[in-house]
Amino acid sequence: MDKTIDIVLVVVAAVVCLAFTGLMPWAELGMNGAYDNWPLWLRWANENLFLPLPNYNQVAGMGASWTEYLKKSGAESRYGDYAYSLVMGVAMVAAAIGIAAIGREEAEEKTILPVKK
Amino acid sequence: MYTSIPKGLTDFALAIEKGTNAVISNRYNPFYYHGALPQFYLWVLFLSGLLLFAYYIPTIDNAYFSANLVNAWTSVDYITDKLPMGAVIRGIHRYAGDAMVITIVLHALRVWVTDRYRQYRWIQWVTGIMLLLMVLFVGQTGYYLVWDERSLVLTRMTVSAFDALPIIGPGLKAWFLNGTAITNLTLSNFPFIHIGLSFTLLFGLWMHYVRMTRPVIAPPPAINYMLLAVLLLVVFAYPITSGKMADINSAPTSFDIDWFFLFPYWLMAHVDLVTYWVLMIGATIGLTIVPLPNLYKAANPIEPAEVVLTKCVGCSLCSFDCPYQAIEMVPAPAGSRFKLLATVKPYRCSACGVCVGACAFDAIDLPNLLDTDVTAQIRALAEAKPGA
Repeated sequence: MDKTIDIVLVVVAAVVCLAFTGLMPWAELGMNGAYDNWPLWLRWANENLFLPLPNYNQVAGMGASWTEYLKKSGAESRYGDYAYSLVMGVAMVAAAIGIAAIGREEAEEKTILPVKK
Repeated sequence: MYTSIPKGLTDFALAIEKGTNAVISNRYNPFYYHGALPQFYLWVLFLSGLLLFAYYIPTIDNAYFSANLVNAWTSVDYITDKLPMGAVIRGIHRYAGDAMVITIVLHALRVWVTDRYRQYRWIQWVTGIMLLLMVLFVGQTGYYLVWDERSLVLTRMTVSAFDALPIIGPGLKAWFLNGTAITNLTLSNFPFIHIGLSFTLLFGLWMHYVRMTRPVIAPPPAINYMLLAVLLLVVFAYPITSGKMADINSAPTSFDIDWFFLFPYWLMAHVDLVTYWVLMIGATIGLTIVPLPNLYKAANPIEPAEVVLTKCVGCSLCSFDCPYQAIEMVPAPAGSRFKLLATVKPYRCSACGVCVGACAFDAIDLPNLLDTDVTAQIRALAEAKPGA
């Protein structure tokens, strides 16, 4: 596999991991994405550096249908734990695909015939 | 090879393997680690079980129903509802058990359809059946621990089943109940059986591997991640639940069946106990004796490797390389220039030819396949493979 694709995969995986590492505890703390809940440094960056940040208000209710599903399935509490389970599961699938894709080239083995004395 | 197996079945299994190789390469093909998959789930079960055990309280003290009641059911409820990630860990423990049964059955099927279960491999098959039975029983005892209504029904059905056995029945019943009736002592016995038997699995695994020089016991990381991912996604898709707390004075009769572990109880509910035991013992014996060599005559009987006594220098290379521990190094006869001499245990030999390739002195041969023929076959295969 081309090394460039390897590097792209690693960078994408790192960004996704960092994003979720930040977002999951953020959600656990009950922050719903409203602008006032943003950390000061991010608000400052948004106002002064004009970063193209998305509008988090639009995704604030995204988890409602998932919570509804969990309730229907019998879960009674700690729905956030199940969100961790889902995200970790997806992350591990991505990790497995990434490792298999990068390690594919090493799967080709060379056969060396022994020479008897 | 494959003489006792329906050819279509073998071809189907091999075609799936080949197709998987084309997609994810042979390095990450789970079919080549099928024996290691259940063992991975065993480690998951040990680790997740450790956390559950730390919070589990093995009592049935439910004489007074109240919010502050502390017993097995309430401790499981605490783990599920209050403990951070408790429900997820409990779900992982439960579904890892199911996954272990699935992977064991797939492992056994793969071994069977590729005819790798008999003759010199009989010990792996027989110990494998014993391990499967142990895993099923350990899994069932896990359902008793929750101490909901299903646990109560299962406990009573197990007691009835033991009671129906002649001679050993009363002893088994007393051992299972840790007395004569369901009490706190019974619940304290369940974790002992559940955890004690789980660790006994390690002894069973040792027997399973005893004649294998290099068993594959750990899948590569990519497969491990995928196995764990499946568990986590199933935990989300099917959150773990408990039934109502068991009431020793009630008589619940119906419960949800987990078909991976509780199918014997379904059978027990539909036939009388004598028929149940006849079927269960018959199925166990039937599965166990499958590899008996007399049941399946090999089309091409195995001709074990032979050591050329005049050439063996006792270097032990063949012994190290033999996959089935079929070569033993013994003291060389008096007068020999060397200290050791290789000897072949014919009933363990698969005539695979690995020893022939390992020997640097042409001192071991397969009677029907000379050293030169083996080398020629390997060379032909290597040359036929592009890039080799």
